[in-house]
Amino acid sequence: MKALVAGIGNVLLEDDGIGPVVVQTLAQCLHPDPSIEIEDLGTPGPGLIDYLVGNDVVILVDAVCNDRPPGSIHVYTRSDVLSAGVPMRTGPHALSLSEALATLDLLGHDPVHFLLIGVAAQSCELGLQMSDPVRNAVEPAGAEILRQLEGFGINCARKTRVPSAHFQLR
Amino acid sequence: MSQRITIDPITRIEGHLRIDVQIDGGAISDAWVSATMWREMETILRGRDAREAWLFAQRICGVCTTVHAIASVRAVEDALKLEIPLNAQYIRNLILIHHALRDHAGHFYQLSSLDWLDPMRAAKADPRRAFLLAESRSSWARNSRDGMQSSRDKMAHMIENGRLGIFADGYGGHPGMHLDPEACLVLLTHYLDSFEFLRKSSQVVAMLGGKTPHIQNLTVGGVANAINLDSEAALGLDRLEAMRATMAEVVSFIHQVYFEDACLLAGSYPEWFDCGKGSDFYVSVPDLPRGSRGQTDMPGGSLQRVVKPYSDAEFREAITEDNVHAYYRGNKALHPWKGETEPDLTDWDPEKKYSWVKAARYHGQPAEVGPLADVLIGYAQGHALTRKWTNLALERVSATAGCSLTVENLRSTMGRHVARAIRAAMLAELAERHWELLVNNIAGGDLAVHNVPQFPSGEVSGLGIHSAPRGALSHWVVVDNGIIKNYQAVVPSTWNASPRDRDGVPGPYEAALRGITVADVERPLEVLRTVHSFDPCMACACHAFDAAGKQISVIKVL
Repeated sequence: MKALVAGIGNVLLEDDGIGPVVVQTLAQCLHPDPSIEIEDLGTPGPGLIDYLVGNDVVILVDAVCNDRPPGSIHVYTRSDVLSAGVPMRTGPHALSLSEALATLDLLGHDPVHFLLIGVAAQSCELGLQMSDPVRNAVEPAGAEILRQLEGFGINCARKTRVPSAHFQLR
Repeated sequence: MSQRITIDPITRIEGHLRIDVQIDGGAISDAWVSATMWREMETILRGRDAREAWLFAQRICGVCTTVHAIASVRAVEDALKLEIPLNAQYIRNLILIHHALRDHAGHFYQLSSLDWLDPMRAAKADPRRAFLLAESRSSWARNSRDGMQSSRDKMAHMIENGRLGIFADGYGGHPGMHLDPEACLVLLTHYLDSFEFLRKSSQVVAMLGGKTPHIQNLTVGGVANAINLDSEAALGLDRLEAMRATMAEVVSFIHQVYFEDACLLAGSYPEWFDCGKGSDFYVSVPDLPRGSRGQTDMPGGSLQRVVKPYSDAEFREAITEDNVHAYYRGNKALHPWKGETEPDLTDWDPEKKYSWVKAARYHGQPAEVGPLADVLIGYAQGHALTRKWTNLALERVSATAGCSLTVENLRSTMGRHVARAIRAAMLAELAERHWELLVNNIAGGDLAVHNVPQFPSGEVSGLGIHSAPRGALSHWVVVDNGIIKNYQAVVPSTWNASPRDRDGVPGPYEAALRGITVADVERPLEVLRTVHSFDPCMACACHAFDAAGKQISVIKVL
């Protein structure tokens, strides 16, 4: 069983950096394991599909706009994402997550399990600092990912000495 | 009858590219192009150590990540007059080439082919005849009757179930879609194949860059790839050989599939060589350096003169940006090193301000950048590799179209797609050459990858240029005692999506749209075809999943 845990988002846009920060933290806390790939994918656009292919389990973590308070964590399934529909392509590079999943389906490369760990954002303006509620969500989001992986039968080897502070941009 | 249509499917808050066109008697009489979100890199970079600028600059965009990293690191090296070792040049060049190959072919198949091919027609094609068509054009070993049958069946299955998925927002059934069913099926099959082969191009980037997107191997002064032929942990023979094997698959896909498909598509729509011309002025920058004094494998300049890489005084002086129609204060035309970026957001008003993009000008003129500019300029300069692939493309397209096209016909909507395929074919050829240059240099005993930067006290300024997939990219940096004092990125879309300047002269997208015929104002396919031919990237910056709204919101920053 091969798993991909990928953070999506732009670290230059405040809370949108949550995805990359969560996976960087996870990578620091776990012993390397060839069956679990942990990737900071930034804002991959159409390239997203390249990274999803070939995995049995895909867990993405990203900032989310929903009605929940900033920093709250919600787990979305594949059907949640697909039922949001494929939005109109506004520019050739504007590939959405639902479009990426639909393409995987067409190519016959659907992962067995897919989850999106969404962290409600407070602000996505230009800047390197995340808001307090979103920064406080880094560790719970990481813990949620580990819990989900274990639910799929993938046990991660945690380091006994975990760095006290997660990766932070100045 | 006069009509105004606006294409702005995403709200102002999310920000993107908005196009307004005035239609008179079925044809576009005027156009306005607006970027609807503000980009301000200098806020983040000012006050930082110049050695880390590239790490932040490459996060501008997740699609063109490597291009900003390279332009940024070159800008700081230029400010220091710092040469980098040959190995570092070749390693960077191989990364640039493979990023560009993925980008160009990805644009063609995944991002714009649905402007031209109707998947419904592909579902009706005869797989045997489609295979014969593919085989008549290329010797690619993967073409097969079964492959064509399988993709036709997939398409038919989707249509039967009413689940068109990724094809749902296409323009199937539009009167402008006349590509014959077998050609549609060939393109659709290769569209599906492209995911497998283009992924390999990203793998080459990752083999050298450590990861992708957002490579990690650059450093001001060179690269951080340790070279040791006997070590598995460093860049050694095993990894170089593995890279060559992967590269070979990418190169054959580019030459035998993408290049041929672009010629097939272009030859099937010859009327699109007659419109969408854009500006009269083109700018290209040289790239793929080899050796210390300014030799490059890709030429640059304008149709009037050659630009010398990294030392060209005129290129440094020629560029200005003005804010008369952009949402910033001031109305002077300023050089990027002196650029001012004080926001002044007003209502959208075509007579006043209507875009977040400044009007970039070269000696006061709007300039088109991108593969078309690169090809026209390389051709005019007699650059052998440009001529070889351009002549081959013109021959292939003319044979398909049954008419005789010249390099002048490339100044058009379809010409941009052909030019992109020409550039990709050139880059694929150069990939193998630069791999050999790297291996031969290492074999000669040179293992150097880095020269240590020394920052002087006081102020120095630098220009980093890169011929990116979308065209001439320049980063401009002012460094004071090793700390960034000012930073501006003049990106390709700044040139192409430029608003009118202070003299009212339109930018290249705006000029290209004038005169385009629109058959159905409810479905303005012709507008999208022309704008997409430039490969617009208003830079993907933020993807946020909107669970309540019925769409994924995509925040775009230029």
